[in-house]
Amino acid sequence: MPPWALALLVSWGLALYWAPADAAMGERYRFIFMHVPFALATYLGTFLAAGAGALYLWRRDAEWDRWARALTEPAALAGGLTLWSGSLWGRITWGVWWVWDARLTSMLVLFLFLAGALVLRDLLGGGSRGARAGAVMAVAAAFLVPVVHLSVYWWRTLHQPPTVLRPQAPAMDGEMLGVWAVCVAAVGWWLLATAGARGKALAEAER
Amino acid sequence: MKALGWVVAVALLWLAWAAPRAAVDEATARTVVQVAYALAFVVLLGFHARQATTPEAG
Repeated sequence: MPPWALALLVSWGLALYWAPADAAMGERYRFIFMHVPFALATYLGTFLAAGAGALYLWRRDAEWDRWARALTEPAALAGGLTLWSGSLWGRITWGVWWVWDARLTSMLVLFLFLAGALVLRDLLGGGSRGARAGAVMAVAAAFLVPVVHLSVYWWRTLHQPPTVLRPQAPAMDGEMLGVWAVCVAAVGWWLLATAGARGKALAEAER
Repeated sequence: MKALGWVVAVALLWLAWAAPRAAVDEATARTVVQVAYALAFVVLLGFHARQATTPEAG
């Protein structure tokens, strides 16, 4: 088993069995240890893919294109898992699977940009046209990240405002916050390790 | 791989059935959360294994 998977098992074990239940939301709040780390991994993967994409557009070096693609793939999966876990959490706490509020809609658009970047690459073939399109889409997706994060301040939403990444102190008990930070680190490790494995595999395929 | 696909499909269907019940029942809520985590873990492992595989050139 890869080391990131062990870290993830430990972090999710802490989230499910060590962190105390929430006073208001009971057991249901434990989605926060999965949903938010996936959302942050989506942000991270998008920024890194956009950085690699921008470097490709500047330098036209195929290696940057490989990294843009390798990073976009796990970022898109993390985005999908954010939407899935959020929908499940929403059904339990709000009573609905989905609402077209600004946070959910902007996250869906970000996910579609990332998935679209991958589809466009394949549609345009493996050459420089596909690489250029993928890079432009990844850069465009990076501009969506602040919109997604700040959407809960800019518009009236059913989705709650940020609990940790906000101007004030985190609205979370210290013990829960510690577990949450471990979960964020473990999911971040998964994203980077998976992108690294993909980058190497793509380089080997091109040799 | 096919068996894993079935496990994922059954877990998704069960989550869809159990989520409305989890809104009112604490024990079901706990199980729903645990199944969701287990499912996400399986998906991440499978995705990583696929990513590490050398793709067809071109």
